[in-house]
Amino acid sequence: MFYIIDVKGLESIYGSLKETFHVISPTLKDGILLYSEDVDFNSLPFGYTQMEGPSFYQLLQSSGRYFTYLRPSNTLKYFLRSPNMKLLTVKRSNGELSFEYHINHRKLAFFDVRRCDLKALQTLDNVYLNDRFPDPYYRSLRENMFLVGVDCQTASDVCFCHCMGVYLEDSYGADIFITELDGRFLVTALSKKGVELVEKLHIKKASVEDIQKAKEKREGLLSTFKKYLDTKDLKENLYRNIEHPYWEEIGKRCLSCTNCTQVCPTCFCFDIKEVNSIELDLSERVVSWDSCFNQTFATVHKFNIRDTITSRYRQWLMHKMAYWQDQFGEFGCVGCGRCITWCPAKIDIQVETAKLREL
Amino acid sequence: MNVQNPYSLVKGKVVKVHRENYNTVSVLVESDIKPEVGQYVMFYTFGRGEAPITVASYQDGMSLHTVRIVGDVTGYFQHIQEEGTVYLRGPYGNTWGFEEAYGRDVIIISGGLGLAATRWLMEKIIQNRDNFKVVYSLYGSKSFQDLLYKEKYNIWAREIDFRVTVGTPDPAWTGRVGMITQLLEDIKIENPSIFICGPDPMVKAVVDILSSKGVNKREIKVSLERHMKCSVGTCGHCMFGPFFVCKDGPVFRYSDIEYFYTKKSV
Repeated sequence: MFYIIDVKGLESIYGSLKETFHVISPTLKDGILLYSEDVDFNSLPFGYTQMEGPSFYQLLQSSGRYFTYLRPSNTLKYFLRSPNMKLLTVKRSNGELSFEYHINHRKLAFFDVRRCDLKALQTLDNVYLNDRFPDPYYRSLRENMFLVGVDCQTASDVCFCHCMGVYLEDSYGADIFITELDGRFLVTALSKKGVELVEKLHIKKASVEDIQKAKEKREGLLSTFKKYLDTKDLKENLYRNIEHPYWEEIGKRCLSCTNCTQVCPTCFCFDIKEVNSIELDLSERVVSWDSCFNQTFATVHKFNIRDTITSRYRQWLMHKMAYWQDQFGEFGCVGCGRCITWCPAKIDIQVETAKLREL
Repeated sequence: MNVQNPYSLVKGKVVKVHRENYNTVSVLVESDIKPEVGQYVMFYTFGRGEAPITVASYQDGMSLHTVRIVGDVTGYFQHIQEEGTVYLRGPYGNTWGFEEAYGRDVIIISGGLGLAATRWLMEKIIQNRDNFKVVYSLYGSKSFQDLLYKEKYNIWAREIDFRVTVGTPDPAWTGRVGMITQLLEDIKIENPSIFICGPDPMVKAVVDILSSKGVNKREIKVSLERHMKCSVGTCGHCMFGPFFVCKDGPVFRYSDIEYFYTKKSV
């Protein structure tokens, strides 16, 4: 179902979402765009454009258009599995323990999710909702979620989603999708929830011309990408070069700071920490973000399997670009480029992967 | 909708505590957990967290767990009491799949605490003894002091060819002294099915010898030890190459993992 709206219509969609959901959307915070909760419609970063490069980020106010900015620097995982999420509370009384599990039933809506992040969400679904042990914490939030996809108008210098299995024709589970036309917006309602929301607002159906125009806009995006990664036989090529001395070259530059894993929309590794009360009658088990770059991440007893930065960088890149394919049949990288922007050592995963596959 | 929470802990009763040696204890636990041969459970200790512990034996709702007291969580087992309560979740991981060895020779090779992971396998093979041809079980221990399950050797030796070697001479030990690889030199190897659990360097050395004797690496199964935290394939800690040891393993066919297992720091 296709509809056409102006900015007022956009505002009414936003307002309508707020009636039912905790709405999370991009906004300007600390000089960058970040997903935040309870953003006022007037605080959406309409008209901003973003310049990103290796260890470089700049926002400009420009355009007179609306969705000219790109994906925010934080990702959906921040809200699905916060950096410190209470898993359970253990109470101790007379030597016996009792457990309270903290499944979160909040209804979240994301307003303005770009295709790379929608694809990343499906990638995370495959991790957390795997058939044998579906994660009820993740599942509860995921099933109650509403997703508003938005088409990008341009790619930044770090974007390469078009090489990583992110296709313009796919809406990746979004409930509605918005494509900006000249001063107006094509709304595509995709799910039952999506149709219900839009129908309630009594907005105008789109014309065939509008739909065609949106298709052209989308296709125009492809010519704006500056990066390219050849993914044919990528896994095989990386496996072949797993012991290549070039990994050392990257290891020398990498700081093991974990920035890349924190901004990555698919990095899921976590630790479980015990947070104890001083009276020792209460202990919380807290899932907290971990990173394969942390020094003791792969320690078994006192033996550290990946004791060098080189081995930890290799683990990360190999997981994203190769292991993930064996594990889940897709890449662990969606080409969003965040890790490139936020690497203080200017290590560029696309550049390094391209180099490693050709060695 | 009711989804099983994989982090749910169940209560277990400590039925028996047996001190194996200076740093290792075996506990028999009664609980609702129904493991299969080769699987493990997560033990929770209040305020300290969890540790993955293999199931060394199981019968009628009671599972045996042999714990080396080396870490924060396992430290709890230092003072564990009979009739006490423990909390655990599981079972996790795959199984040894010993049925594929029916009609063939079997060689079980265990190093150190690895014997805890092969003990139930051995017992299962003994229970189904007629389904196998020659069965060897080779066990190497660092020293006499480190030996596990000493009271069981004679019982096992009645049914299978169970051989032990210790790494250093000891006045109290009259048996074999030396490396486990030497035990391999003494036995007949004719198209056997092989099950190994021990430290990585031991596994590599043993596989080299077996392979030089013509054993196909597809016939070798290895139970790996990695740091499992969640045990359900989501925390990433036990990742080894493309494998999640917690859910794809702990038992692997050696031919499947060889490429990554033989690379440093993977």
